[in-house]
Amino acid sequence: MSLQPTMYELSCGVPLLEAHDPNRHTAFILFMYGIGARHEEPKENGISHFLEHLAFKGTDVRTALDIKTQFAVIGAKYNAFTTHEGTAYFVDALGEDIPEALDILSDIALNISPPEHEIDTERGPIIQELKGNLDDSDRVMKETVRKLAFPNQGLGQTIIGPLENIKSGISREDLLLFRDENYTASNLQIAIAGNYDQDHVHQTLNKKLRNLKKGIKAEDNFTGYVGGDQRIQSSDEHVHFTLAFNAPAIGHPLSEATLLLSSALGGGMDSRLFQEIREKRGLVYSVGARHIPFSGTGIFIAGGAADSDNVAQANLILIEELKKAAEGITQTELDIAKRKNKVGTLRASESLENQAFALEYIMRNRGELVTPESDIKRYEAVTLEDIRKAANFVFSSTPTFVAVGPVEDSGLPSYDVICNKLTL
Amino acid sequence: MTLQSTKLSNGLRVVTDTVDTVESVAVGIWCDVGTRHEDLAHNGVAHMVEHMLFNGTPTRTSKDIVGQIESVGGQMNAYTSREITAYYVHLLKEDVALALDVLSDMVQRPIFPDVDLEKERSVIVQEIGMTHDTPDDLVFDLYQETAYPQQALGAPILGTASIVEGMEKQTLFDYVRRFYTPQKLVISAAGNVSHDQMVALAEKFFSDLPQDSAEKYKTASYQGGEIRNEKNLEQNHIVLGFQGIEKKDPKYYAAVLLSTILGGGMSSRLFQEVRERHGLVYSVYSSHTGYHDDGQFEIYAGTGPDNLPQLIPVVCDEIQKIVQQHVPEEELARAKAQIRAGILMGRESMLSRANRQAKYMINFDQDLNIQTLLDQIEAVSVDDIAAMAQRIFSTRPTLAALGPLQNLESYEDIQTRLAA
Repeated sequence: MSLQPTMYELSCGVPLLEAHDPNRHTAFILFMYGIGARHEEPKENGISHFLEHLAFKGTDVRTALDIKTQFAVIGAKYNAFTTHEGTAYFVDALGEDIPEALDILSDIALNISPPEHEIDTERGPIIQELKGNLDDSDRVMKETVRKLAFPNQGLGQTIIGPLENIKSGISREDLLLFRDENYTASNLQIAIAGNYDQDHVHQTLNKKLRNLKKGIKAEDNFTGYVGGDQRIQSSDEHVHFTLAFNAPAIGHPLSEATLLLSSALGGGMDSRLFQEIREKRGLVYSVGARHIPFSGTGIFIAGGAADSDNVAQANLILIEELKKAAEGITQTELDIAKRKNKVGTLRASESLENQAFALEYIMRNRGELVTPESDIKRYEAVTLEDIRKAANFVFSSTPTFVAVGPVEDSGLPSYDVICNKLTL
Repeated sequence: MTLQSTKLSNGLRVVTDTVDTVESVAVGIWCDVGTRHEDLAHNGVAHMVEHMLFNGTPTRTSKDIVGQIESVGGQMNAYTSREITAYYVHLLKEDVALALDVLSDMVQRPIFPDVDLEKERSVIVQEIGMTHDTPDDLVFDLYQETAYPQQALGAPILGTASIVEGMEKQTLFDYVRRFYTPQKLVISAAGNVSHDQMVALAEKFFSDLPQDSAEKYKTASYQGGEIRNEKNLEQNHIVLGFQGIEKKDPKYYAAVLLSTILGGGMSSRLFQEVRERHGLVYSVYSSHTGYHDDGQFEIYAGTGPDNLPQLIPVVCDEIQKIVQQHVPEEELARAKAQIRAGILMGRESMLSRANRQAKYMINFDQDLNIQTLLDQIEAVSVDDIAAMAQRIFSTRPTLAALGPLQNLESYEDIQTRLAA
């Protein structure tokens, strides 16, 4: 059995979620702000990610070099990332070094204040990151799926943002204003997992966060899933393809059933898609399906990559399998999907990083503190009837189809043909 | 927590890293065999064997193999590298016997059915195509071929499409019979399982391995040189490398620390200069890879054509600086702290523990005491780093470049910069 996690409310109102485990030698600390690409206006798209890049560029009391040197002295592993939903800052360090690690990380997460020249220099790496993404067809495909699924909404924007915003559109004033409006107690949650001195962490955080403004919770301009079709010609050898659908949000009653459905359909080497498209016919190297839930909505994606000789056939079989899955799955498949989810959750809980992220995620989206065991129970309760309802939710929505690669002579079915085949 | 190893009477080695505070066990077979054990005419056979071992035995179909593991929620995977091929499973402690049953069946009794062989050729050809579409993978294949030309060590792990399409079944069988022998195999487990249980399971399930063949591969012959592959991309992908040192070299950790100081992570010199100060790249790093009898030191950077004329001089300056000036004690101490913490934090993952023990057993024929490893790292001095920098950076460079290369200076100009 896992140790029971706890929640300690800091005096500023920010929840501190803890999985304290004296058997460990290290601890993982996470600061997560519920602010990301979906909360940005188009003219400032990319600003959450830009601000995250600047976190290591200086605070009121530390220069960029101080931050790196001080983390390096204790051998800490630290990083940050931005998604559509949030911005994360985290560090992994030996238990004895947690006071130092916490001091630096909290300074970064609370007091980003980079000098002007650091901001302009950082435009370079972000532009290179964007160019790298443009050379990655899989990435281009995923971003295009988002754009079609959620057009004219924050959720359909890219995380890095358009080139013009990074080059000059976003100024230091914009960044600092964005920080002040959004890096507030209402958007922040902190999680820590592993071996550390609890009293010390509570006292330190109460002190460091005592002046944090309450602020207001970030909101976005979500209007709903739409769907559509886009094919992008490139000089690659492979066509990356995805068929996507609307799907339940985090916390939706059918969310667990949708995840288990995606597992049976395309979540492993014995899944239907892997068996039918790769193992029986050798049409692809990779193929799979996933449920990606967001707050308020979600998407279900199925796809892979194949060369232009195979891609049309791979897609016809994919469509066949999706149609079959719309009828539901067998009891055996459901049992295996549950077992995989259970073992996967238990395995993941062995990692402190995963524990911290899971605590934060479930508290933010469901308002609960859970152990891996109680999380598993929610999935155990799913019935075949739930699976059928989930399949109906997903496959009755308008499809989104995206293909990137040598699409021109590949013989891929048209969007109308795809829609017809799915409904027949 | 205990660490134990045993050599069975047939030569098979078993190493167990018992951690009784977790629910799971990571267990697998690591083989002292990889791409460099191939002959060039059959390049890709090591990787193709890895794929084909999943395709059935006299008592299990390919679907049974993955199905039996996945139906208990286990995760199964495999990899082929230039010197090692591994098959491993991560599942709950009560299913360890099942894992060894399935893994031992796969490696001892493959049947390579014709229909699966044809299908798997096609899958691998698809995999090769995907590598060609991934520039930061492809540039390392180009690099390896240029560093070690005309040798299996320099050949791509996946092979080429034409070799894979023509690979005969007998070649696969021969490869398994010659190399999947008891003395080349290590069974490694980490997690909630005892060593006694592991030894008993290994004795029970691994009685059908072929005789040892004592076959050796060719000694590595590092050459260096350059390859330029023009491609219409947004970014240039550049690997600049040098001959490194072998795993058994007593100064091995000086090379690892040198790479950490120069380009290992956000505190490193290259990250600091190339990305932080000049803003030229998103990604820049160095790494050192040791082989049984050689090694290599690689620096990777990706950047757009406009930045390329600035990138090369900055990287060469940093190489020169570390060759000419002793690294400050504090900087070495930080690099040691980074490696030390990385090793200790890696111990949280059962899969990484099993992998580390297996690889150490293959390379050094003993289990790895973490304290010994930490002591070896601690013992490296700034003089060792200076000597290692001179040794590595005086070798002939290997340059691999992929992208819109019009702004990349000549190999000779780069050599001149490094020699200045």
